[in-house]
This record gives sequence, structure tokens and C-alpha cells, in this order.
Amino acid sequence: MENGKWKMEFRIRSFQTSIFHLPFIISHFLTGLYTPAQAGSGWRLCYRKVSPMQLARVLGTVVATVKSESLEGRKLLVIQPLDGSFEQKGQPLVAIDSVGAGKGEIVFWCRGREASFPFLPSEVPSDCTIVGIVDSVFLDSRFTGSNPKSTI
Amino acid sequence: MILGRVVGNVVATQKDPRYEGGRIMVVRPINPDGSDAGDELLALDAVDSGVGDTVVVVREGWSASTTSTGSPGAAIDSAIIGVVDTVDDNA
Repeated sequence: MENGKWKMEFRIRSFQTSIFHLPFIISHFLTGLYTPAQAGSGWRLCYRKVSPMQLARVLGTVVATVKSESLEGRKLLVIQPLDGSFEQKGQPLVAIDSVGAGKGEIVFWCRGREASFPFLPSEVPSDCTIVGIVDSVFLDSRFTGSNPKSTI
Repeated sequence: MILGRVVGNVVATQKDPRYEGGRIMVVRPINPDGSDAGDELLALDAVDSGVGDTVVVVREGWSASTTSTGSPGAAIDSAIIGVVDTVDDNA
């Protein structure tokens, strides 16, 4: 995340909101579906450092015998986040695999609360989940400013 | 999630009632090779880890809350969800 950009966003209860949601928010207020008490606990205007690309290379597996019951049967992998030119970016993370990735593969991953969604209805605790194995990445040099270095 | 090493724990008598019975551990983030990777963080223990253990720490509120207290909604940022035996690079 070191190379990420700071982005301002408006969130209601962790859902990102935009100006287009304003009529719904107001109507929810008027009809009492969304109370000020909820708003007080759930609304926030926040700056979040967003990563420009959620690619990573799988470095290996994590073996953990003692773990939370909800992690039983899940594969934990160590991944190294990469930037658009496949350079290492940030520190290695531990990710739960949802697609059957293996060592050396380039993968696409997601972070945050959404990282536990691939396992629904199971409630798996995760803030980093591998959601795709990358076959190829195409970057148009007219927009990226340089020729992409493909390492796949 | 990140890898970390448990380096201590925090004792707090006055705390949020949702934390009762839980242990608050001080975790130092590490890289897979064991070197330090940033500043220490506090995490609620969900797996009975001890000082010196290498652990997996989840840094997201809902996951931390459900694993360490059993239900969502507690004011928690991170939790220890696994004790690492080995990090194997022959996946």
C-alpha cells in the first residue's frame, strides 16, 4: 500500500456511497428506515489509501494446526502484492484461497469485509482473499506511459 | 491477514464489556523469513496463543469480532486467528 493514492470517500456502514445515493438516503431518513442513531454510528467521511492494483504473486503456504474453527479446511497462502509492472509492493500478506491457486502464480485478491464474501454462507474471517488466478494482463502503453513488463 | 510474532500482552481492567474474558496481545508484524515488518499492533486472541508464537492476524473488524467474541459488533480491529507451525514455500 506504500504506493497507493489517498482517496476520499463517503461511507455508510462500510458501503461506499456517492451523490447518486443521496435521494435514497434522504427518503430513508424521511420514512424512518434509517434513524439518526444509526447514522451517528454508521456514517463517516474518510480518507482511505487505495491500492492501484490488487495483483500478487503466491510465495508459499502457511501451515497452522491451531486456528479458528471457521478456518478449518481453508488454504492459507503467503502472497506478495505487486504493482502494475509486476514489481513487489508492500509487505507479504497471508491470504485465504478461494480458487485453488498455487505457488508462483499471479493472482487477483480483494481486501476488507468483502474478502469473506466468496465463502458465504460460511462465515470465514478474512481480510485478504484470493479471488482469481491471472492468465494475462494487458496494459496499453498509450495510457501507462511505458511498455508493460509481462512476467507471466 | 498478516504474519506476526506475539511479543507480550496488555492487561486492562476497565474495558469494553464485549472484551471480557479475552486476552489482548501485542503482536509484531513479521515477514515470512522472520524479519520485522512494521510497528506492533494489539489483537484480541481467539486461539490461545502465547508469547513467542508466530501467528496469523486478521485486520478487519467483522472477522476479528466474530472469531474472538463469537458475534459481530464488538469494537475490535484485529484478532489472532491461527498459530503458525511453518511457512512452506513449496506450495
